[in-house]
Amino acid sequence: MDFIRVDSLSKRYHSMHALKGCSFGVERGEVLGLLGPNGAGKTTLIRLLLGFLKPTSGSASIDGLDCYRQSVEVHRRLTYLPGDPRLARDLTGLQTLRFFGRLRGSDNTIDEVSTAERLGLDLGRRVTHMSTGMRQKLALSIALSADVPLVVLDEPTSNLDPTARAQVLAVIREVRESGKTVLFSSHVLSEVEEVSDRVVILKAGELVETIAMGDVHRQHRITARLESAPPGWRPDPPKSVEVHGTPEGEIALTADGPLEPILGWLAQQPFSELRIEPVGLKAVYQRHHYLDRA
Amino acid sequence: MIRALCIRSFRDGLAMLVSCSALVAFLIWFRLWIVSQIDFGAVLKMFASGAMPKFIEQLMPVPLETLASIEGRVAYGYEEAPAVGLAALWAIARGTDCIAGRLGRGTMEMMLSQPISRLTLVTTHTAVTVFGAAVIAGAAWLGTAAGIAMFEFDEPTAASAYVPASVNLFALAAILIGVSTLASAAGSSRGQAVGLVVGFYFAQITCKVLSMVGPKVAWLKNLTFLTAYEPTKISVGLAREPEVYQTLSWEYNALLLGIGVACWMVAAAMFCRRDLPAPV
Repeated sequence: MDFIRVDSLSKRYHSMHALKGCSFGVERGEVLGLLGPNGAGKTTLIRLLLGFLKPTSGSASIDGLDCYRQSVEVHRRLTYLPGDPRLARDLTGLQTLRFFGRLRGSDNTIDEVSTAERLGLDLGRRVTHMSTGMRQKLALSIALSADVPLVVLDEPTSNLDPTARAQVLAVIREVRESGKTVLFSSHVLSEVEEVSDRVVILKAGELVETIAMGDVHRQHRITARLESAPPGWRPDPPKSVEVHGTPEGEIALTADGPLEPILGWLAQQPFSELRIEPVGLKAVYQRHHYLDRA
Repeated sequence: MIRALCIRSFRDGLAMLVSCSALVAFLIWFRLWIVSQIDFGAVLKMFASGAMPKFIEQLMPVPLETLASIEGRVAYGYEEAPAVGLAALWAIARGTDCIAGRLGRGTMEMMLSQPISRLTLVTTHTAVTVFGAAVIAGAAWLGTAAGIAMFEFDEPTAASAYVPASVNLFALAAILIGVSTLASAAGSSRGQAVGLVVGFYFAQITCKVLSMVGPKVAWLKNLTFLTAYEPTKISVGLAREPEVYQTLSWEYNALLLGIGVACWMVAAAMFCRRDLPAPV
């Protein structure tokens, strides 16, 4: 059974669809990356999973519990880092860690303090005197240290410097290695590629692609010029090759699987300046979010 | 968990609570010093001579002769701006902060991602606010007791006679807490919630004042909860005719508390069902 299950989940505000019929599952111990530009529905999806929003239709469950109706039980199983964490400004870092520890019924903040120190945070400083990045680190220490099976991170590195970003990604990898499930939303493709097992791409509230990182690494992107193509020529690719778009004079293809079987076909095509490169997450993302404008 | 939430909520409002309590106690005490210095007989003569406009007498909560008594003069302090204003300030500031304030600051999001129900969050905050209202009402009584103990009046009076006025002040704060929490649950921002409550409160004051001065619009008294805020009437009445005013006192306080609780329950139900917007 999926640890997170989303079925035809939709959220509408009057006539605006923030999320439309989204369905996917996340297995226990998996790291799922959520990708999409601003307004794609990433945060709406996360807020629906947290029970902050009531679904217009469809359902979402975590560990078999309905995210909206059983939100308190769901929250016992997760920690959450919002994109812009706001904390009580009069407390020090340590007092903040203690407060959130007590809300989970624990007076022990050893793990939280250890994570905060690792991120180079001064816990004696009041939140009001902390920079945005410091507050982000403090909220991360709260989110990453709780003993729960699911960690939900909404753009966790958005306010961090490169050193802190690397530290956070290292902590997320440790969280994954400890067997926890991670839901990770980010604009930074390289980060998602680095830590995710699978990626969900959202566009204008719709889930447009779910892809395992293993498959991403098995795919190749092929681009070529078509200067020598006869008039009316159309590509007739093998099954493992997909044609994505043919801007004037150029062709872009994606090959899924081993390259050897298609090399012969490529050699017979009227292509020049042929380039073959491994597909990264960027290429997958661009299929949905850049090619429209081409 | 509940203890942690209550302590946090208490610390959030501590500075304001201490300020309001100290100020209300001091201002009531200071007012009693002024009362002890004034020869009220001269004021009565002024009214009797017709030098004062009639509508001023109509605005008095009790007949002028009753107000001129020591109980009336002391208890009237609970109807004046310092006591009512400070109790209302606490109630409105805290009540509107309960939902809209925390949503606006964005602190609600981190809190509600913990295993805490929305109802628990609202209940703990309101419990601390109600406790604060009791402290302010208690401080008002302490100011009265201190003034009675320290100053000399033309007639003797006991501090215990003003406990009902303090209870009535607490009930007024309670209804404002309920109304403010409702505005906080319904409004999209704290500023909007404060605006709604302040507008509502002034509309209530207007209804009461108009119903007192204009016989043609006396029916307006049925539209305002302030007709149940009568600390002078209750205190003087209980001191003179306890068997008659005992029931009235209970009725007034029950009405204020009942409306407050009803508003709070609607607010809690709304908050438990509403979408939580992302902080802006």
